[in-house]
Amino acid sequence: MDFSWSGPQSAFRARVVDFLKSELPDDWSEIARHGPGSRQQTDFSLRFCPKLAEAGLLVPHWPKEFGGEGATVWEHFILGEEMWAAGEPRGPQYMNVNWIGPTIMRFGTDEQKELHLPRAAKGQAIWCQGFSEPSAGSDLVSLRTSAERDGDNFVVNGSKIWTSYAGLADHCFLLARTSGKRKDGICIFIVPMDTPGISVRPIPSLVGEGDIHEVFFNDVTVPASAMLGEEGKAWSIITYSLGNERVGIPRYEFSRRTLDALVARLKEEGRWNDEYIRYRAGQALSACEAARLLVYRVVDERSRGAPPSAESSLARFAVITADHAVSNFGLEFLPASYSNDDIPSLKPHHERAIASGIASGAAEIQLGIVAQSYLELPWEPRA
Amino acid sequence: MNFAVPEECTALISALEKLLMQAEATAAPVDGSRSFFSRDLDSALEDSGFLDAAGLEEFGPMAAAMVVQEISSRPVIVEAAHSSFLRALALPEWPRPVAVLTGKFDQATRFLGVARSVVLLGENEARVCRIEGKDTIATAPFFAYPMARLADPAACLARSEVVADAALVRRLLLVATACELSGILKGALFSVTDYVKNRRQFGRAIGSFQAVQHRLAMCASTIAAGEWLARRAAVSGSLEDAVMAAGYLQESTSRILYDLHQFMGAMGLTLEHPLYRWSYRAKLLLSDLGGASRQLRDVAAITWPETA
Ligand SMILES: Cc1cc2nc3c(=O)[nH]c(=O)nc-3n(C[C@H](O)[C@H](O)[C@H](O)COP(=O)(O)OP(=O)(O)OC[C@H]3O[C@@H](n4cnc5c(N)ncnc54)[C@H](O)[C@@H]3O)c2cc1C
Repeated sequence: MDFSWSGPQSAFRARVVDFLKSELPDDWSEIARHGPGSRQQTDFSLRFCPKLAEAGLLVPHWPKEFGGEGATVWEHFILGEEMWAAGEPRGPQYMNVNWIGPTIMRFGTDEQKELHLPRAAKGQAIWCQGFSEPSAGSDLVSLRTSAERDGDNFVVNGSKIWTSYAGLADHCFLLARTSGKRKDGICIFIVPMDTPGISVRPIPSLVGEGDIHEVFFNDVTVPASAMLGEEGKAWSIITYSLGNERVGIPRYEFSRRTLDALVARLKEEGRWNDEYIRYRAGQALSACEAARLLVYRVVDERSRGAPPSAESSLARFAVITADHAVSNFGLEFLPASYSNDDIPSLKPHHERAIASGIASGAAEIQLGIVAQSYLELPWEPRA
Repeated sequence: MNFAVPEECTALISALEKLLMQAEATAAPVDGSRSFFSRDLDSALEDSGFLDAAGLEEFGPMAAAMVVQEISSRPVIVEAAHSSFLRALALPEWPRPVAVLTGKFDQATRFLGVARSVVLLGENEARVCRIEGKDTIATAPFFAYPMARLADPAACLARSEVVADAALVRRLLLVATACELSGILKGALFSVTDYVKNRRQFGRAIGSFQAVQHRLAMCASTIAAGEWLARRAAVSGSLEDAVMAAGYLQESTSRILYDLHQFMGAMGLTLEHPLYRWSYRAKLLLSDLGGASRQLRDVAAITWPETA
């Protein structure tokens, strides 16, 4: 057992940090203020990710045949930590590299792989995830968007909501129903966002301008060849994709660096000798480190090829707790900085923190998984 | 980074589990006395060398952390944490069980009545003194540990010798407390989990109510994190990791104990169910070495030093 980084792991981190130092422009903190879900950061990702790709740092963990370098699971994670520490300059493209690309690699046809993977590996693709609907949030299986067979095509009707990045995305990873059977009726379609019949409306929100959207599908014709995986098998594919996403975002690193910035500011203001402030900083710091270790445990399991388990839900709950601990620390001791805007990561961090217990599966859903799979508590009332 | 438990540790822990299971099977039934000391098990653990793991090349501090966590997770009460870290790594020549007094040396502390060495830890020096039962006076059994105070603290101090750097002793004690507390909380959690799976009200197991499930799941997340923070502190040898692990666990303990007692109903308040053997140990460890208040301020001061 070893809690330190190996030589190659440290060298990889140094490579990422050096790259960020030399390639993030002087006005990056201005762009980053808008947050990882913003239009500004999405635009920036289209300039930044191709450079990352050229340096071999966009998809290093992908197999060589798809443009990767066969980097380890840990290296992939180190990359994510450093990107989040810098405010996630990959914007939405983290999704392509973390789970959309790998899902297409595993379940896609040759044609789909050829069409989508090279663009993603070059940093030129913006995707959105069309899962949630007005009446299907936590209970995703109840989604209603329909895809009706019409010869070699499907015709999609319905609407999606809370869709991040939809305003600028070129493709949607869409869930739609081809039959009424609950899980077994759901399929995945890869849909170009410029297909006639798709319209997007941004939703004004607390999580950053232009982050979340409604997407309407009105008689949208999609070729059958755009279906990913077999008809009706979407649920096992999504479980695989979300298994990767559940612990995929090292947001505790963003929290940790934001906490560093808050403490630096308190020092500048001569308030770091306040014992209560130090105590609360220690609390927030330990919450970040608690999350880090539980996430590392999951990454370690994944690096050994173990299937996703309830451990990722244990970890996700700790990440949510850390996000809130840091956010609450900032709000309690440096409220003026939220309006003065003198700590660049503060606003985007807060916007992530308020959403962290909701986006990618509510905290209560994670707790349910822990209760039933880790603690093995009965999940249905027994008569 | 590698979280896999080495084979030697796995073998050590399964041998330990066997010993603990035998001890639990043959232990005297819960007898209505609140504080408790499993003398036979304590001796067996000493004789079989489990408490020396930290200092042995083939095992080391990670194995010691797992040994302490495993022992503490059982409803048995033995002196394992001080011996496994403080004695094994800093005081190998001194007899055990080891009790520790910090700050005021006239206070009651755990294991003092059964200890053969007592460590007197001040801010600047750590002293050790051999003791026997007659040097101590047992105090009221409020906590589940056997508690006693020194009959004559001044005499004990006069007889004691400076043995180790106070900073090292403090760090090892923080690791010991973190490992012990994480083991205790995990044992208590799974004891309560078993109970709520079987106890039925309103025609269903109370563990199927979501209010109960979610709070136990929150406890589980905190306890799992504490377990790994404690292990990291044991292995890294860094003071920052040690204060963080102890502080995180001490900070979380009261909330966890509230929930664990709550879900046992009145049964958890009896001496017939062993929950108190976990919870009334944890209640004492809350204040170890200054408690969460000191630990969390310390970790902040170490992480963000004044001058940086
Ligand atoms: C910033 C942000 C970005 C997002 N981006 C996307 C995206 O790109 N694509 C996409 O498809 N979706 C996206 N989502 C949607 C997200 O996946 C959903 O918000 C989430 O699944 C919860 O669904 P809901 O909001 O409808 O809440 P609901 O399902 O209505 O639940 C509301 C609350 O009820 C509680 N609750 C629900 N079910 C249970 C239960 N079984 N037990 C106990 N409590 C329960 C929880 O506290 C939950 O927060 C995003 C959301 C946010 C906030």
